[in-house]
Amino acid sequence: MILWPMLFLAACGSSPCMDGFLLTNQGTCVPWDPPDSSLDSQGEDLDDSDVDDSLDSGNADLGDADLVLLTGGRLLRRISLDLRGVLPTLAELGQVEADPAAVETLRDAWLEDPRFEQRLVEIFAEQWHTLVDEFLVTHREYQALASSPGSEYPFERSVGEEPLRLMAYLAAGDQPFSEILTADFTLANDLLASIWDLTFSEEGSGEGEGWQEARYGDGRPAAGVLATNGLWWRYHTTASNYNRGRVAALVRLLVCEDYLSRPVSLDEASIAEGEEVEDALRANPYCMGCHASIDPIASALFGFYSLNEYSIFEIDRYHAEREPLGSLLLETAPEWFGTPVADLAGLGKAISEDPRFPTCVVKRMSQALWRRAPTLDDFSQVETLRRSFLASGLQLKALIRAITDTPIYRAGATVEGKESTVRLLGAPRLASMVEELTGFTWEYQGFDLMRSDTYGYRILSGGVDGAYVSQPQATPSLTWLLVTQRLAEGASSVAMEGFGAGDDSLFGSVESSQGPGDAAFEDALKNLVRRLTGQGATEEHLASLRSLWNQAAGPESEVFGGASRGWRAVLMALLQDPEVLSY
Amino acid sequence: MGWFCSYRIQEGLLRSGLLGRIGSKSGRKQDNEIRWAFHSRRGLSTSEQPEKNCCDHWWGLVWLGYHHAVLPVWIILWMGGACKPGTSDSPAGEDSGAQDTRGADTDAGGDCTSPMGVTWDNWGAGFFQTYCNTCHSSQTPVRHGAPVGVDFDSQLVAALYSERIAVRVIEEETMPLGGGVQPDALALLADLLVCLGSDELDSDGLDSGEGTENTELEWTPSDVESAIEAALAHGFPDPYTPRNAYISMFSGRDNQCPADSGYNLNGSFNGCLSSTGYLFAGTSDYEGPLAGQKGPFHLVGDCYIVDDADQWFVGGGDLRVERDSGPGTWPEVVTGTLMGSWSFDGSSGWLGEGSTQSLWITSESQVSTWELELNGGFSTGAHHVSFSGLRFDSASCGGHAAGTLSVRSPTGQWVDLAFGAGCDGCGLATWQGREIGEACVDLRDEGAALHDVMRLFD
Repeated sequence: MILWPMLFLAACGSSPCMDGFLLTNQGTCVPWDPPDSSLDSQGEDLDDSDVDDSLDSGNADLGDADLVLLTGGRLLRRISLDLRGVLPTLAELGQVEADPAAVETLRDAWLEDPRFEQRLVEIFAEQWHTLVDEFLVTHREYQALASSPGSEYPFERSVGEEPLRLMAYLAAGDQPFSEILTADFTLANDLLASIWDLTFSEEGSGEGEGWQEARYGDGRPAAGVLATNGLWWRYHTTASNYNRGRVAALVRLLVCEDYLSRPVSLDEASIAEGEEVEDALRANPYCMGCHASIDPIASALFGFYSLNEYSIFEIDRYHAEREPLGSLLLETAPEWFGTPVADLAGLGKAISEDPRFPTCVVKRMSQALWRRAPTLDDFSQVETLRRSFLASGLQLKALIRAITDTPIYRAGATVEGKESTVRLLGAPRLASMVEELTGFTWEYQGFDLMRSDTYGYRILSGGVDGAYVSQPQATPSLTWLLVTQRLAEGASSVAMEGFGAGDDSLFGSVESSQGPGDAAFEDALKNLVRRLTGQGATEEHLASLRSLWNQAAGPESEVFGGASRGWRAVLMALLQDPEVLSY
Repeated sequence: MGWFCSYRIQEGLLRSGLLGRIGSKSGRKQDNEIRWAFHSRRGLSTSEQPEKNCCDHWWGLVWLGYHHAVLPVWIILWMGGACKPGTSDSPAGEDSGAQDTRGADTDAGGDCTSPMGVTWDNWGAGFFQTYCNTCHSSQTPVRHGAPVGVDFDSQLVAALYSERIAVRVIEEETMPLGGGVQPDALALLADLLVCLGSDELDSDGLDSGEGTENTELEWTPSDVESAIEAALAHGFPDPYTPRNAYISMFSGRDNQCPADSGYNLNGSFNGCLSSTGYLFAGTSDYEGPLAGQKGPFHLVGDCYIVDDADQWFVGGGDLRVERDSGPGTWPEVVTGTLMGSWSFDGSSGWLGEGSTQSLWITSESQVSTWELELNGGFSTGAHHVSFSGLRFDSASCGGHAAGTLSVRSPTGQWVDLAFGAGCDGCGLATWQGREIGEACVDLRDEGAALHDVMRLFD
């Protein structure tokens, strides 16, 4: 088991070992027979005919010859984890085994699943980085929360989720995704309504617990996520930065342009001694290269310009009277890359009409689902997706549907090792999968330990905190391994609490008196493996699990609850299996 | 076909390294075949082929490697047929008599294909948006020296200037100013320029560069006057009012709360509840005279104080009064700043209703005359006003306001009232440059009252 993290390296083409060898933790290469990911749920080999030509929508470098695509249960499992954050049920796996085309049917149904909206929140969080554990103010500064134990984590998550919930709500509700920049409402829960000037609307409510449409009462413009406290608390500014850092974030998030990565040599700017920096930003070509566009955008953000970023009274509300300050302090009127805008609402509208916006959405969603950033080689594939996205009227579901049809998404094995085919399951999906399977939620003092880092293990288990880690972990690490071990221990213990009480989703109707060789036991074992991996188990695998069950249960299993111990050991082992912890 | 393109593009590609992986595995023979195919497609005879002096090395460009790709045929064809060097930042060919060829481009039809399939819609418009349109936009009033009319929010204009774009951006890297174009973007730009202008204008349903329409404002001059009068119903803000409210809240302190070191006005309050029922939370720092006394002071706060009647005093930001000149020197200049969120529930004036401010005040007093200037703005309740050089001079204009006062409509639009030379409190009200009409507000009393507050007598 300790060797298997290297599987990812090998699968991703990063291993220094020769084909057929695996890099161990000790840095040596040992002979290795890779798991056959081309097995479908029936355990049968795939052939080229399983590769759907229609899926190859334009990427010349990733034709069918290079990739072997997942099908059946493993594909269904990948889609389910991506869209719902949980594993497919046995019934769903059965549907696909009976009719491979059911994958698309189920996928479309899952796009309407309540859990899809939650998954979108998680996907957006990976890229928008608002789910940080610390803001410049704490929950203690609010009278309503100061004396409430256990309110720290809900406070942090509620604030950070606000813009993500709004985007997920609009996307799940089949609104054009451009509305994330023009909506005249936000999404809020009771906690946010208790600390900010928010009034719930009558209209809609999100799928997240307690989240529903709300409006601020401070006169802020209708600008979707651009008018949320949650976004600007995460991307705060200082009195002398004048919102410029916010602009860098905004441009990166919405049109995928990264000022910070531009190949500009600041040395060449050679600001003259005594020259004011602010003057240089408006006159020095090396500064203007970025600031000619940054400053006019920053000028539109002055309603969120706080004069004390540590004061809740300053950062809670929108300061309409400061809107004209941008032109005064930055000496430029609000514009979006050469298009004058009147205010924040105008900025949102201009961005929503920018041709880079839909392309950026395509790139971001592709990155989330491909688990790698699109490159120049993917240009034609991205273009195909962009056209599909535009044709749908900017429906995010349509885009996701199209992305899950791409060969890159469905890659299960590769001939030349160019594509990532094995995806690591880390926080927070690891948690949601285990929660749904076993009912185990790992908490401490009100903190969800798999979704936070103050006391928890979000980063350690491969997640993104948005402050120190900005990309999900792609390959296993020592801390990820330790967390998965402890998670498996806790989850398997909780799962056994209901064992023997009758038919349950994990163990079926097997009883404590039944063991290896009994039909009910054998069915339960096979179904458990199938549920967790999305495919049938080999006899060798089943034999090893029976052996483990026997060792854990002991000879007097009926007397001392040994069957429960046996099943717990099997579940614990499976929850650490590479086939389970990848997708 | 992009007939106006220049061999300079080839050079630019070479210099930029985009053609750095050009191989020679295809020989002259294959190259000649391609060239023949190109000219056949164009319906040209071999005698119309480009002059050797500008293309004598173009055979070396047969294989262009972007990443894993080899140069497809069309870029070669395009380059081969495009050897018309341009020399200035003018539309392609204007300095080489190529006006006709530009027409040929338009006529060439839509069968141009670039190696990567980059078009105006799928990438080009975004590139120009990112790197060029801040200056080269038909809409921006701030062009930073960009020639009028050279506006790349238009595909047509970008196509006309594609030759110079190739030179300035790819070859010389002198545009955009200061550089900063990503290598991937340069590669894509080269691809875009292969066909830019060779086809009908792209359109995939998303417009850019059309400007943003905002909600129309249907205000009359009377509405403007009413809005200003409502916002200034309690006069102009001054720094003493919130400072006095702050100090007055300390009437509820005791010797343990807000600090355990006695009856001070500073420090961290640690959320203490005094024996008189006042809650002190947060931190603040005050330097200046005691309540009721005017004079220079500085108050920094991130705090709230709740009195025994459950009235909240909120302080987030800083307040300051400074004497810039005097006493004994005329004029006496006093500046005041109100920065942040300062409000008090118990106030019936502008300090109530969750007031926030970002206001600079300059008061200048002579023996018998005075001047006052306000910049910045403040909000009180649902009213938001802003001042840009709003001035009062007791010795001129009869004390009427000059400068500009702006007021925000309930739907978020700012209306500017620029007081005119008539010295009658009237001026032209405009919204986004559109005239609403003449509006009049008499602010003489408010100006005089603020000056009285700001003036320091010695």
